[in-house]
Amino acid sequence: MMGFRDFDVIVVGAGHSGCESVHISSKMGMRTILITLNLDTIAQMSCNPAIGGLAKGHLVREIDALGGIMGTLADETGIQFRLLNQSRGYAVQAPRAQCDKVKYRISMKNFLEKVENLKIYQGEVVDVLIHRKKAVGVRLREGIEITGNCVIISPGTFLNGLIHIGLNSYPAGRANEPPSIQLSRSLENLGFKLGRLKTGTPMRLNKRTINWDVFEPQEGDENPTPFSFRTEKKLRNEIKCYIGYTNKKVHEIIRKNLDKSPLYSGKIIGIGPRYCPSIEDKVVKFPHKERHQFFLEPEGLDTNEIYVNGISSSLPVEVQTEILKNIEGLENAEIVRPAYGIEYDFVNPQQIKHSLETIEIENLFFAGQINGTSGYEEAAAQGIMAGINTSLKIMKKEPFILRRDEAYMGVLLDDLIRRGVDEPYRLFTSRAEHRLMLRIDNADERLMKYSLKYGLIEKDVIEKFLERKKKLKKIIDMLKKEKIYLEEKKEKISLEQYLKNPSINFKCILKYIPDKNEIMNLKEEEIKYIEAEIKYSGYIEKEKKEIKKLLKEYSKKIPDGLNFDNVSGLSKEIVEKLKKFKPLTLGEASNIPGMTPAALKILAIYIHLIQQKANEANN
Amino acid sequence: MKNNDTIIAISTPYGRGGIGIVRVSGNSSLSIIKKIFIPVKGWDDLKPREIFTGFIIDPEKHIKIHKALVTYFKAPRSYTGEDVVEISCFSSPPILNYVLLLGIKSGARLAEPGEFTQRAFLNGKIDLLQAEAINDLIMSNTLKQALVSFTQSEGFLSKKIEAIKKKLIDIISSVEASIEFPDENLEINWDLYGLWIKQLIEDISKMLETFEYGKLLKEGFSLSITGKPNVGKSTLFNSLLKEERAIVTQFPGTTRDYIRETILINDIPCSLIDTAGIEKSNNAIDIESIKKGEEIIKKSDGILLIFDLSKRVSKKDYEIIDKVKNKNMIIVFNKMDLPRKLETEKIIKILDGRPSVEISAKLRANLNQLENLINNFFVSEIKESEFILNLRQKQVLEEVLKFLEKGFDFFENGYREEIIIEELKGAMNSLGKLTGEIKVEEIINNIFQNFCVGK
Repeated sequence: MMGFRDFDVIVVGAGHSGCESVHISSKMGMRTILITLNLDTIAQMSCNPAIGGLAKGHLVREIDALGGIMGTLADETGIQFRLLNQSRGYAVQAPRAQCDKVKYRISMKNFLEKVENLKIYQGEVVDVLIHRKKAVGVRLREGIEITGNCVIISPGTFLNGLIHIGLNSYPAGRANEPPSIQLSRSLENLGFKLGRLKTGTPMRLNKRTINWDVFEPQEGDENPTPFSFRTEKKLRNEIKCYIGYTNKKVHEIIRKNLDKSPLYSGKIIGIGPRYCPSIEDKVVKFPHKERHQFFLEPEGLDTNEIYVNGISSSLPVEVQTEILKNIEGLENAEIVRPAYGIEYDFVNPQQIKHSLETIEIENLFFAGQINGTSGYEEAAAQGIMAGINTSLKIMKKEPFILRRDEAYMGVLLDDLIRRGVDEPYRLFTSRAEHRLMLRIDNADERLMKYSLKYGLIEKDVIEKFLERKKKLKKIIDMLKKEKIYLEEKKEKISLEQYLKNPSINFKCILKYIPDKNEIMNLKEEEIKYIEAEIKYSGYIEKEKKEIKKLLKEYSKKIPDGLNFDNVSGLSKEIVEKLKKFKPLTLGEASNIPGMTPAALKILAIYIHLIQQKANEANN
Repeated sequence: MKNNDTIIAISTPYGRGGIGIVRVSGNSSLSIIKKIFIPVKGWDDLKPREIFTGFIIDPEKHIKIHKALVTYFKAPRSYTGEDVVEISCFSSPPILNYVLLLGIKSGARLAEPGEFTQRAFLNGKIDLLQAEAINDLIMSNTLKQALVSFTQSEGFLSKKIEAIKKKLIDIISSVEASIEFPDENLEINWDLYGLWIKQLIEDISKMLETFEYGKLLKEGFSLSITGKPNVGKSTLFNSLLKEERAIVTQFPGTTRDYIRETILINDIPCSLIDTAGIEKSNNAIDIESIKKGEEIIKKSDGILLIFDLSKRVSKKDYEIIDKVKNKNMIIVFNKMDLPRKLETEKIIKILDGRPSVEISAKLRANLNQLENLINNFFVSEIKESEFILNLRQKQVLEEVLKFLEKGFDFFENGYREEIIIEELKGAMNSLGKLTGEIKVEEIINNIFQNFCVGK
């Protein structure tokens, strides 16, 4: 039979997850193949023409610090840049960019085509090949078999996708693009428990049919903040977005037509995201709100398509038209692509490990929307982690698992695995217990050491960054040493102390710094780093201490060959899990899905007792 | 695991009646118990596993709190394998809490739930099967455990705590919504939230006062027995104690140094004080003792003013009445067993509105009525307080308060929202020790319930 043999990593799906997977595994020297349903839609942005936002922008920075591509591409194809929450503290600021959709996907394709060790192939995967409970390859619709060491599945909404517009529905992964139905069955046959989720996308309008004068423009930042640490070129805002509002009349139309909504007629069974409600959801759940905000966002520079951010819907096209007719400025707006809702299959992520490898089938990895997440950035984050972990697995190395205090990526994966998913999962900064430590200005410091360890970014590039960070640390040390006399308080305090005052920023202390050479050419973001490190220092120190304590506990080894049956007090379920996962340390045990703090404590005490007895015997 | 610290906890179920046990375990168990307990026979013939009778004392105030039995278990022949002392006393929550507090003041640490079992397990005294209670160790930090064994009055507390939790979650989720969805331009009503935080601080401070109040209960509300000489103060004192333990003597010098004993009135400890009779004297010692007596009366929460039914009203009676007329008091007409000469209506008229009762202290007649009066007049008023915090609840609320105060301070000094929130989340996490872990999902759910966010 015709086929391709002996790949290291096989990646199914070329969305934001798949692209990061193949790039990083190729970089790590793995012979990689990327299989996509359509070579022309690699890295297609299915929904909004934007990357970043709160927590998401943080993720992009982290992906970038691990050598990922999303950040550089977003900078390259961005047409409007905004740093969100500039009036707030640095821990909750994050970049967001409107991107040129077409450029983004073409750039990604061009980029991947140049990657060494990577083969790109168009085809539909219908089956995962299994040998002795291990994944060994995939089969395409035309019968071709592709074999390799590890398989990453990242099909996005294509996994048994079903589009709804009004009470009409048709199988699709994106409007008018056929879904992957057989793959879903194949996964089910392998024993995975699948669930159903729902999401949606708003209509696109013809730019020339909108009366722009009535909308309030939203400009980009004067000094755009890039996503990537490696972006050096000055970013430019090419477009404006515009803000508009719905009204009572529109809400009335929606209420009148709810019987035509697949969501409210019970046709859609999948659970939708609460943070991305359709306009019908907003109207029903908040009946007293007189208007809802929406944004008009250009999909790119070479297109007339305008994305209506805020009016996602699965109402029939005629109702969508009726809605627009009643909004000032959109009276004559032409829909060029209708809004729709889409249901798709996902695998509850409690069936995977922190490395993204499935529990049941070795060498099979799931990444992206299949794990119940939504969002380009969440997908990309999983993609890069899956890419790194397949490579490590093939190299017979320990998996790369980020902790919750190290990265938003750690929070994301830990949430998925520990809690599972009952609605499309989106990252929020408030999900992170150590938010003040997980900032965009220190993502490099947090993660580049791993890039160095695993060879994800060229050594000289990393060293340049680490050198720079060292310099910043030196400045912080200097601020701790330099003292000034405060007239109003009649006391001498360090510049560091002075800077902790909420009304004092770096500019205020410039005049006190004796050696101005040290602070020459500091970038704005580097100043932010210095300020954040100092203003949050109390919290950071406290959290670091707690983490150290926890790590010490987690580093405790579980004795070789420990019979978990002998540990009474553990539930049968936990004992079975321990037997299956064979954790080497308490930390590893803590990562087992469904592990409870109580069980962990019992295990810790048991191990302690065994060691104590062993010590006594030795004495 | 060698534990250097000594732990203490109430190890019997919370509630009234029967015997309550406070258990101390660790190297300093014995030295701690020596600070807070006086055995009747003295410490010299202390033998492990023998029961010692004696009194719990407050080393700071030098007062006897309660009769108690103490048993010493020498390591390793004890439940935990360490030196263990068990204090058995009347199972009244206020008394047990007080003993606990004394132990902590004397150097013990409040045990974590299940810690005795944990130590027993670590010292090889029990196997894991027996130690399944360790599950409780971890589970007990939840609302359920806190509530299950608690009396109905605890329902008030949990309602209060739920109200605090709700306010906290409302503030946090409002701020988080505004942070997470910057494009929605959600205004944070800091003016209101500032008030809320301040209110929470006040509420919790008040709740903490109930612990102080409870402590007051534990130390006994004090009741001085007063009246002219020979009206039967000491006899009443002994009668109320239900045993002939107080020193009854004809010599005035004895009562000069007043006697204090704790009795339980409806399970609330009452510190009963036998004062010197108030009588004019030129004797320096007498003057001193009278002065002291007056001071005690002044400080005590109430008095039992005794009159002798067998004698006519005298000038001295009026003098005494004049001195104490502003105190909370119960009028006690004693010696009802003797021929009646006292014009009680005259006294009742002057002390209008004060409850009175006729008794015979000697024959212990009508003592129940007196006790009921004391209960109604002094105790039931106190019981109107909806709840009393136990030590753990108090410590948790103190933690919560600390976070809130810091958060409020940051708010007032113009700190950034994410820092203020850090403190409020700290408060929320601490509160979780009473309500069960408050998960971030609760915040996120609240955001989506209250704000139309997302696009």
